[in-house]
This record gives sequence, structure tokens and C-alpha cells, in this order.
Amino acid sequence: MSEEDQQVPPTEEDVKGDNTPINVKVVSSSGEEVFFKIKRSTPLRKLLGAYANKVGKQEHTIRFLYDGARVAQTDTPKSLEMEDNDTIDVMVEQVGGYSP
Amino acid sequence: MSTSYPDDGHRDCTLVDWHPFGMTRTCVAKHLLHLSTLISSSQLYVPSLSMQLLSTSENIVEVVRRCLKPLPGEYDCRFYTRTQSRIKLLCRLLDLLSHLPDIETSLSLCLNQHGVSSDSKITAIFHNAHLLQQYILKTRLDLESNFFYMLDAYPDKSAKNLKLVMKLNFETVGIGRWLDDEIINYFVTKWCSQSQTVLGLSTFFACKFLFRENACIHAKSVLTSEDKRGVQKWYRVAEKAQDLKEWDCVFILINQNWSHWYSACINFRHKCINIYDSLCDVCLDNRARPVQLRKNTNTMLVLMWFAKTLGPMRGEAVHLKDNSASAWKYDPHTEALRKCQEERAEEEDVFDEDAEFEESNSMKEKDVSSSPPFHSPLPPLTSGATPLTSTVAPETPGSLMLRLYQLPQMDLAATAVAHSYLPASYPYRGSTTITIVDSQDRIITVLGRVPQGASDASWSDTVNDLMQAIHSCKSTSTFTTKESHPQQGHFTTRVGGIGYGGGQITLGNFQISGIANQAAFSTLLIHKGMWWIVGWTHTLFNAYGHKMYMEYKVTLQEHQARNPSLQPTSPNMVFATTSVNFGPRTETHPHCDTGNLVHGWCAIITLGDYNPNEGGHLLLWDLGLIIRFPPGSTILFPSALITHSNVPIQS
Repeated sequence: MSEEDQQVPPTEEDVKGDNTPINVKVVSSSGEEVFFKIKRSTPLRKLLGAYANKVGKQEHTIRFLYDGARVAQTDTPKSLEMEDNDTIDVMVEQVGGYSP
Repeated sequence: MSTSYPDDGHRDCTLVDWHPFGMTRTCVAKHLLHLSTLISSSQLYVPSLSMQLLSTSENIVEVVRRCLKPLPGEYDCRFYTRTQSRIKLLCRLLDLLSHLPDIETSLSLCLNQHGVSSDSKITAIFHNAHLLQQYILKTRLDLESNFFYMLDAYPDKSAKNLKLVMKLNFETVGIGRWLDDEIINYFVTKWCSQSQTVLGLSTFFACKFLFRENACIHAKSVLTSEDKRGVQKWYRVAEKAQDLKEWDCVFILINQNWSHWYSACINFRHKCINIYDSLCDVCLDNRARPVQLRKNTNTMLVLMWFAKTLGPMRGEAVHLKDNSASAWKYDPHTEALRKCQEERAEEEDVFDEDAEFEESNSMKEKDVSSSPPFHSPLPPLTSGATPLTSTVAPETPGSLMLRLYQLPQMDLAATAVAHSYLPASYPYRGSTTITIVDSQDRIITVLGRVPQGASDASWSDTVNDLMQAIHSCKSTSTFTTKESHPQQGHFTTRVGGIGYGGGQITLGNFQISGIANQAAFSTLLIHKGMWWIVGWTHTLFNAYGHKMYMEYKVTLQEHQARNPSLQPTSPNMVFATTSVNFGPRTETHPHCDTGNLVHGWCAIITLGDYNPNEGGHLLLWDLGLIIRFPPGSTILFPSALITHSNVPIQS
């Protein structure tokens, strides 16, 4: 009946529902929330791009953190074992130094 | 009962043949074996090293020097890695050799037990080993200083090398570029993972959990159970990322206002919390301040909370609050901290969230928004009491003290009550000083008297002359729209001194446009009458608010020391700015001077010829007071906190 039934044999990933989209909440430090729907296999890099675009910032100036760990370019919701309605913290670039 | 180790332990020692030392006791042989293992481990770094060599060589340093060939001096692409690996090698070697003194002590103990004073071969070995250790240490230090010198001398090559070493092409690595979070986090993770004992947290930890804002300036004063859960989660992630089994220290990086990096370390083994800030100014500045005003005090409090939160994860309870018996030590910048924390704890139980920290009790979470602020410059006044009462303070003869109670509803009616009450019973005639205090006898406002000598002709002449000078300054100067129509009301004003106003991004002198305008205003500021009035204001300020006076003074002095071009309006001035309101009839709307120091006092002095019963009153809206303001008198009050305005004088 459904598509899955027609696939023979179903791979393990399909059984887990690999590409079912999940909801991800991106929260800024001031508490503003933006919701995204993203496939589990989509790299979070794309989410970062979309978010930066939405808030009008350059991509390299913002950082995504998932439970305190920096989200790498190649990470996907699947690789981070994210669940539906999980939260990503967004932080801005920090710099410091001395100018003589 | 008591075991005397040497006697009992050495009774069973037998003689064995131990090459190359010949017949020796088993206990000695055990330590010699240890020594020999150590030396064979060292062979990994210096292949020619052996027991034989150590016991016979006349010039061990020369032998080792031949093994460790000097590195090529030029700064090529392999300079960084080559020098680093050599430094590492020497460090490992030094690590190994650091066990020597222990072995030497144990050996001489054993030899003594068997009546042997010393063994020439063993002595020779240790003598050579010490020489070796000194030589290696010196080589390492030389190498390191040369290494850092080269890195500084060739910044372009260093930047290129750093990118190669990090294997990540960070955009922000470069000459003259500031360090960003990517680089800092990279090295925190790298070095902490190597250390095996230090847990390094991301640079975003501080701004998320410890400070109120991303700029990391104000440490949090209220921490919720949500914060605690977050901290625990981040901690677990960091622990997992670094693959640490056990750790002693937690290392926290703080980025202050996107311009300065500093760090803090909580050391559970040595039981201490340190804040490492490279800015010397901050340290010196802190020492001169009272504990509550020091930059790091609130940060230290929040770190104490963090230490307490982490304690259970290490299986130990850390109680720092109200615990003077605790063995924990804090940074010397904030040594008087515990006392200060106890004082605060009485006022507000900020850091004690354990009682409600349970999942099932999450309903009890503290509501951050409704929590009172940490520093309450004006304490809550007792409610529901008589609208206004006053007492004469017996300890200060000749002055009056008004005790304020909170008016049930601070509205016009209440103000009217105060108005009708105050002038009738306690007219402020300017002949006595009146202090207005809160329910805890803290002085909020000083209604300063006219100075004693004011009735003298010389005073009145000088003040009259000053008024003339003010008039002439106004008539000879031109004013900008902002000066002639300020937001606060209908009058003309000119500001002199030091501040941030007028769009300045750094602290600087207020600029007045036009040479003639500048000259006229400077002449006015150095007028003798102005000096007299400033002097009297200082006397009042110092007498009734000594601590605050000193804070003003020290702060201004420090700013001037840092930037000698800053010029206050007159020498020895403690106020940073002086505004002259030229009138003709100064009239202000209710306002707060938001640019002023929040907990500080501002002094207002009136001059002129007017009837104080028929105008010129100062209205303190938040206190519900209308104050008669005779010419020549001075009022000190927190102008940034209390909404104030004044009534125009009669025309």
C-alpha cells in the first residue's frame, strides 16, 4: 500500500525512518526562537545558512551549539542523534586581543 | 605494634651479584633495578646513555651533547614542528630524571641500614645524572626562549605555520588579528585533552551560564534549576568530548565585551578558585575598591556556585556559602569575599537553589524576572507607615535628619501631604543641613546649608560677582540648539568636564565649539566664586558620603593617570562634569539624569536673587518631597535614580 511496502528489501535505515523530517528549535542568546523542519540526513550547515539569512547575519559570525558542543560543518541531525523538537543554541563569534 | 621499617625490612636481605656493582644486598639491588629501568627508558631519547656510561664517564655532558645535535637555526617550514618535538623530547627526559632524587634517597637509606656509608659507583652515577639533568633543563629553556623569539620575529611565517599545525584553515589567524572563539576553543580542547586532568569548557559556557549577557560583564546573581541542568549537560558533553575519566580542574574561558579574553580555573584538588586576568589595571583598580565594587567579586560568587554544582559529579560535596570552615581559597583580588557573601546571603538566598532542585519540584523554580536586584541602592522603605515623620538626630547637633517612610501610594495626593507637612514643620531655610535617610538610616539626600561665612560681605560679593560672570558668559557665548533647548526643560546649559556625552565612544573632555565660547566658559569655571562653591560642595559631600566621595576621587584620579589629557573643570574636583544652567529662569520637567553614576550623588547649587517661598522648589518625585531651595544652598541627591524637577522662580 505505502511506498515502503514496495521497496524490497527495506534497508535498515529506512526502517528507522532515516529521512523523516524533525523539528529543530534554534534559540538565540536573547531567547528568540526560530523553528525549522529538517530531514535527518541534511547537513546542519544548511540550517546555519538559512538561519543566518533569516536574521541577517553572515554565516561565519554565528555558531551553532548542540548541548554545548559545537556543531561541525558535516554534522547532521542523525550524526548528532537529535530528536524531534530538540534545541540548538546559537551564539555569536567572540574575539579578543590587543592593538598596540 | 609499631613497625620499624629499616630493622624489620632488612633482616631478610641477602647478598646477590648485581652487575656491574658486584655483590650487593637484595634491597639495594631492587633500587638499582629501578634506576637501570629508568636509564634504559631514557635510551629512547639519548641512545648512548647507560649505567656503564653514567658510572664511568668523566664528561657526560659532552656525550649527551653529541647525541642531541643542535637544530638548524633558520625559520623554515619545519621549524615549528621540529622545535616542538625537540622540546617535547627534553620534557619527557626531564620527567624521567625527576625520579632520581627519590631513588637516591631510598638507596642511601638501604646502604645505611647495612652499615655501608656510600658506594663509589653509585655516587658517580648520581653525580653524572645530576649534571645531565641540569644540562637538559638549560637546553630546554634556551630552546624555548629562542622558539618564542623566532615566532615573534617572523609573524607572517608563524601565522602560516599555525594554520598548518592546526590543520584547519581558520580565517581569523593572521598578523594583527584578534583571537576568536574558534582558535581559543581549538587550543582549550587540545591542551585539556592532553593534560588528562583539566576539563576545558567552551568559550560559550561563561556567557550562557555565568553571565547575564553575552558580553560577559555582569555575572548572574540568580541561578535557576534550569541553569543547573544546563551546566550539567554541558559538563557531560565536554567530559565525553575530551574522554576524561578523572579530572581535578575545570577551566573556563571568558570573553569580555568582544574585546578581551581572560579565564578562570576551579581546582578541586588544591581547593581553590582563581581568576586569571592579564589586565594589570583591573587588578590594581580592584585592590583600591571595596569588595562589593570589585570587578571580579560577582564572577567569583557565580564560580562558587558552579564549583558547588560540579562537586557532586566528582562525588564530593562542596559547600562554600556560609562556610567559613571551608578549606577553599579564592583569588587574592577578592580575599574578603566570604564575608561579603554571608552578608548578602542574609538579604537574599540567591545561590541556595538545592531545596527546589528536583525534577518533581520544578514548579518552584525561581522567577528570575521578579527577583530583586543584587544591589539595591535605595532599600525598600517600610510600608504603610505615617506619610512622613522626622527626627532630630542627636549625634549631629545643628543638623536635622528626616526619616522617610514609604507613602502608601506615591501620587499627587501624597506629594501634597508631604508638601503641606514639610515646610510647616521643617522649613529648609538653608541655615541647617538636613539629611534624608531611609528606614535603615542610610543617607539618601543631603540638603546642605549655606556655608557659615555666607553672611560675610566677602562671600556675598564674590557670589554676586560670579552671578555677573555667569550672565556675561551667557551674553558673550553662542549656544547650540541642544544647549539652549535641552530635553530636561526650559533653560540654557553648558557642560564641561569629562564624560561620554556628545557621541564620544571613549572617555574624553566635553568639547565646546568656538574659541570665544571656550574662553568664556573657562573663565567662568576658574572664577573665585566657583571655586568657593565647589569647595563647599566637596566639604558637604565628604562629610555626609565619605565612601562615595573617595570612590569618585579615586576613579577620577585613575582615569587621569591613564589619560593625562582628561581635564576636570577645576583642580581637586571629584565630580567628573560641571553643568552651568544659565537660566534665565531654569525650569526642568520631571526627569532622571541617566548619564550619571546610578548610586552616586549629584550636587545642585542655586544662585540668584529670588524668593524661595514663591518658587525654585526642588521636587523629588520618588520620595514625594517638595523642597524649598534657598539661593546659595546645595542639595546632594542620586539624580540618576530619583525623578526630579523644579518649580520656576517667580518672575
